[in-house]
Amino acid sequence: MRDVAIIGVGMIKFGKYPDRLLSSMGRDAVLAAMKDAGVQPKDIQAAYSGSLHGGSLLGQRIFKDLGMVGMPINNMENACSSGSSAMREAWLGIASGLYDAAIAVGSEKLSALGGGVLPMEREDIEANEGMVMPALYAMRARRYMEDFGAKPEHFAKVVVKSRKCASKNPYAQFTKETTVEEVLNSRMIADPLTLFQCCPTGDGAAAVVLCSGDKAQKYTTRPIWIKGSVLVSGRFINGFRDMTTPEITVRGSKLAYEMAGVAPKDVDLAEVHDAFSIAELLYYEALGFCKHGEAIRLIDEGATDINGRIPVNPSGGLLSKGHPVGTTGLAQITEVVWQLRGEAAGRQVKDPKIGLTHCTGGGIYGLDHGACSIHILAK
Amino acid sequence: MAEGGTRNKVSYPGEGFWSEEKDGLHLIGSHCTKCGQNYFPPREICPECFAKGVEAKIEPIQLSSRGKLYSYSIVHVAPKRFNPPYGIGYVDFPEKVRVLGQLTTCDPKQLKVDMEVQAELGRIAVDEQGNEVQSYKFRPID
Repeated sequence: MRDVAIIGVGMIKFGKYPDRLLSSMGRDAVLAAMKDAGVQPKDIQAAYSGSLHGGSLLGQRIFKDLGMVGMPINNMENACSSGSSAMREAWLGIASGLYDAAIAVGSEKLSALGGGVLPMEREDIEANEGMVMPALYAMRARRYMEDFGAKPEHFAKVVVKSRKCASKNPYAQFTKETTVEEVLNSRMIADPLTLFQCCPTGDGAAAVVLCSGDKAQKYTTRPIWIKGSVLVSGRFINGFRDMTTPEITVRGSKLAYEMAGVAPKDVDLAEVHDAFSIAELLYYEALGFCKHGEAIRLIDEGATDINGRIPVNPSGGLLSKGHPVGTTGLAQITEVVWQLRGEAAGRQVKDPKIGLTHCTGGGIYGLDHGACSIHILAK
Repeated sequence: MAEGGTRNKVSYPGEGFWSEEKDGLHLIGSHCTKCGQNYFPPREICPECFAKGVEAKIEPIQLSSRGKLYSYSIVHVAPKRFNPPYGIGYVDFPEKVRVLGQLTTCDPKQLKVDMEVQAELGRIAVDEQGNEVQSYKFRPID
C-alpha cells in the first residue's frame, strides 16, 4: 500500500437549512476542500459520497454541477459511519495505486425528516418492538451506572465540556455554554438521558481531498498523513454481551493502532462518536485512553478537556458541533486536520502530532453497531 | 418461518414466535443442534456454524417465561405508532438469549437492573391503519 496524504479539508457550518438543497451543501463542502487543497477538477480521479438519507445518486447530484463527472462516483451508506466509510474507500483507492487523487464528501439534511428520533429500519425486529437510538444508549448508560457507580452528573459533565468547546467553533450548531444543572433539567428523552445529552437534528456537509504521498508536495508543504484507516462491521451476538464494552470500537481501534504503529498513549487528540453523553465515556475506555470503568475519573479530572492529558472532541463533538449523520466522519477528519495544522483558533490543542477519529453507528438488532471506521492521522 | 426479524410485509413480530402456557408466555426461538447456540427470533441458518462452514440443523426451542432485566430505559420520544412514555429493556433468558421488549411499566421506581421479569402479551403499538399491535412485554416480579 502507498502512503496517502490529506491535502485539503472543508465543511459548512452545521445547523438547520430547510430551504437548501442537500446537493448544494455537499457542493459547498467540496469547493471548500478543493480550495484548501489547491486542486483543480481535472486533478480528482474518483469521488466517494457518504449519506444516510441522501437519496439516490447524491454524489452525481453534487459533482455534476461542478462538471466533475465521468470519473467513478461511489455512493455510500453505512448509517452514521457513511462519511467515514467514504473516507476509508477514498484512502483505499489511492493506497492501492488505482488513483493519485480522490475526494470524499459527506452530506446530510436531517431537517427534512421533521425532527424527533432518527427513523430506524422497519425490517429490524427491535425497531418494531419500540427501540429508538436514545433508548439503546440509555440502556448502556443504565448498565454503566449499575456496574461502575456513574451518576447522571458524570454524563452531564460530558455535555458541559462539549458545549464549552463548541462555543469556540464557528462551524458548530450549538455555541452556547451550559451547566450540569441545565443539562439534567432539560426534558427527559430516554431515562437517564435528557435532551441536552442527545446529539441534535441538523444539516451539514464536509469534504476531504486525498492524494498519494509522492504527489502531495505538488499541492502543499504541510500534508497530513493517514497512518491508519480501518472499517469494521459489528459482530452478530444474540446471546449476552457487555453493553458497557462496545466491541466494534475495541476491535476497530486495535486494528487502527496496529496499522499506524502507535499506542493509545501516543494520541494527542481524538474526535469520537459522542452521539449521546454516555457514548463519549464508553469510548474513552474502548479506545484505550483509560481502563474499563475509569472514564468517570477522566471526566471528573478534566483529562479530556482541550488542555487535558488527552483532549477529546475539541470541536464540540456530535453533541454540540452537531451530527448530520453521513457528514460526521468527514467533519471529524476536518477538525483533526485543522488541529494538526494548528489552525483551530480558540479551541486549539497544544502542538498535537497524532490525532484519531472514531465514527460508529447504526442501530441494528444483534450488532453492537452496524459499522465503525477509525482513522489515525499524523503531521 | 421468518428469519431473523425479516418479514415479507411491513409487520411486527408475529404468531409462531411465542406460546401461551399455564405458567405464562414463552417465546419460541431456535436451537442449533450443532453448536448449541440459541436464538430469538427463530432463524433458518445458524450464523455461527455457517461462518465456520459447518452444516447445522435448526430446531425450535421454547424459552423460559422468566428472565433477568439486563438494562432498561423509559422512552419519552418515539415514532408515532408507539405510545410514549413506555418502558423498554433487554431481558436475559436462562437459555442464553437476550431479547429486547417493552415493559409493562414506565415507572422507574418499579425497575431495577438484574431484577426478574415475566413475559406476557400486551399492546406495544398502534399501526398506521389504526390496528393494535400485540407482542411480548415484560412485567417486573417483586
